[in-house]
Amino acid sequence: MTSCRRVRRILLETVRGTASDASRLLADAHLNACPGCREERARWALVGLAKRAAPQRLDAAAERRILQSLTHTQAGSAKRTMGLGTRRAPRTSLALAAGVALAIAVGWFAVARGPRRSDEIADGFELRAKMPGTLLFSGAEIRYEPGTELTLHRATRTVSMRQGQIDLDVTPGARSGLFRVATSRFVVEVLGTSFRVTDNAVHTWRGKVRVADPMGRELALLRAGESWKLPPEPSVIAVAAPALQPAAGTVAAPGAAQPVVSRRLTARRAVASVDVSALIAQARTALAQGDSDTARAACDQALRTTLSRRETATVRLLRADSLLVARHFDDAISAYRAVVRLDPSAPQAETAAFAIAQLLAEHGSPAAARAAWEEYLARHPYGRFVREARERLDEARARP
Amino acid sequence: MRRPNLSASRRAEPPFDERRLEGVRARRPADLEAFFHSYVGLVERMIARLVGPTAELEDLVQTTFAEALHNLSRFRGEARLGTWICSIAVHVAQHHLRAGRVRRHVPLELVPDDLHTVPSRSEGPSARDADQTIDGRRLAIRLHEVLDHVSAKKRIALLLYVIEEQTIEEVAALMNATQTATRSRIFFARRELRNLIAADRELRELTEGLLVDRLTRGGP
Repeated sequence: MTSCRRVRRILLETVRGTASDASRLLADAHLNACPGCREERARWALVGLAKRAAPQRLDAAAERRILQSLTHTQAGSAKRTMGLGTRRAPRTSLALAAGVALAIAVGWFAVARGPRRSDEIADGFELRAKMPGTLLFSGAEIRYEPGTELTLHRATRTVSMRQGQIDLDVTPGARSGLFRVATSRFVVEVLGTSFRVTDNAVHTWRGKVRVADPMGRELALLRAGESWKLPPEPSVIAVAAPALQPAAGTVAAPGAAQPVVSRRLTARRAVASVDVSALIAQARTALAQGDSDTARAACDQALRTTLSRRETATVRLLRADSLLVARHFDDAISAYRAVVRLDPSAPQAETAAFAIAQLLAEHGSPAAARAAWEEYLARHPYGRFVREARERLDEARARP
Repeated sequence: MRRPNLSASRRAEPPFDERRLEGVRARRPADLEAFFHSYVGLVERMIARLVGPTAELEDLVQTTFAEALHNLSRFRGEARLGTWICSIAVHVAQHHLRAGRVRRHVPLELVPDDLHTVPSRSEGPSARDADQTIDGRRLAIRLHEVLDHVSAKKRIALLLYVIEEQTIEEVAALMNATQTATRSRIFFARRELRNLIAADRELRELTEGLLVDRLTRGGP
């Protein structure tokens, strides 16, 4: 009789599609009499089913973004490429030495001439770029793309970016304190590094950066070569609100990140009210700056207008976030619960369910927190925060 | 270590002649675009199979191409260009898995159009097909979640061997490992996967369902 070991090897070959008919007949004869191997076959049948599922593909827009980014990167400075450097030919060393000498001379000349350009930029300087360019600000070099809109706050070393794409090179130790880039949905903090920020993503070329949400909760810690992308919620769509569109005639930069837009929502957005989008954007900006009152006022004003189901969920979630920023924890929990009740299938409901559990874990009773984590996992078994929720639930269960 | 000859690969590789490769090295936009379009499908498929459904697919594909272009001067033509790019994709996937931050949430725009509009069951075979596609997708997500508990090297060796149907020799070349080490990784990955499926309630139930299904149909 064929051994179990041999049959299991044949089962693996069957999943791979390389088993011969003869070996499959041998295995079939064995499987009739061996329950253990039948179980093994069922396990590999699962793998076979998963294998038949078409792998995830990128859409044409994503492929176009990558191509643009590659073309842009290759045309730009060598610093932007990632990974190991190529071996330099010996004959280039002379040219390199000459280049370094020239750079030192130019650098000395620039320093000797007087204050840097950044010193001439007034606090609260606003930029609406129609052309690519470079700014020197608070010990950082900021290269911006067309369509970028930002404000510089010297006192807090903060760049508030409303839209577009910027590449930054922050010199370590040039100024005291953290350098920050605040977008409407997240904040990037660095001491000294080279990195890129778009409306919904961050990529680090050198050093380390910390990405946090407007409430200061850490979302990611990125080392050199690592990227982070904002989870695509419908709420992100409103970042591209009509009020914040680039001026007419502005051309999108090659390699600039496109807003995350689902096909199903594109048509509806075209007829969405300008005021509502502007109010949502205003609430986000205010939240990013920690101004919970302005954010809540914008949300309340938006809730008084006619909103779609999804817009309502977005605005209510933002309102709950504003209560959290204002440290009204009980009110925030109630507001998040309302988001869940309102539209349990909406992505905002998942965010709200997770926020409820987090808040209860930090400010409520352990039993309530446990129940909230369990509820989150039951409602969203394939959700975005499943792994963290499981870990937190395990922690909560381990506590007496 | 001597590199095995991978020319016997079963997959058709898009043609990319030396003249165009020179164009890519010189960063000529037209050649760069042709290079990208020739291999983007291959890279996407490889990364999607190894990492599983993830929102970071775009970043990983971009990183693979950025690394390939950066190191193109090192490509000496000993293997096919597609194999060389696949080995970079394998390294990028391995690095990503080792970081342990795989987000399984797949953005809406990455889900194919046909899955947005799932027909009702009364619509017949097409509805069943769509259901099966979704079930297969969910199963793939769950299996990859379970595989997250297996080390990156073992997991990639197993997936290249079983799902991508590469030979041991090809897997070893792609992972820059010996054939002995590759066999060992596949063996241990199989064993760990078996235990993990047995320990996972959802997958265990599915396994039992398949077992009952086969028994009731009377077949082996």
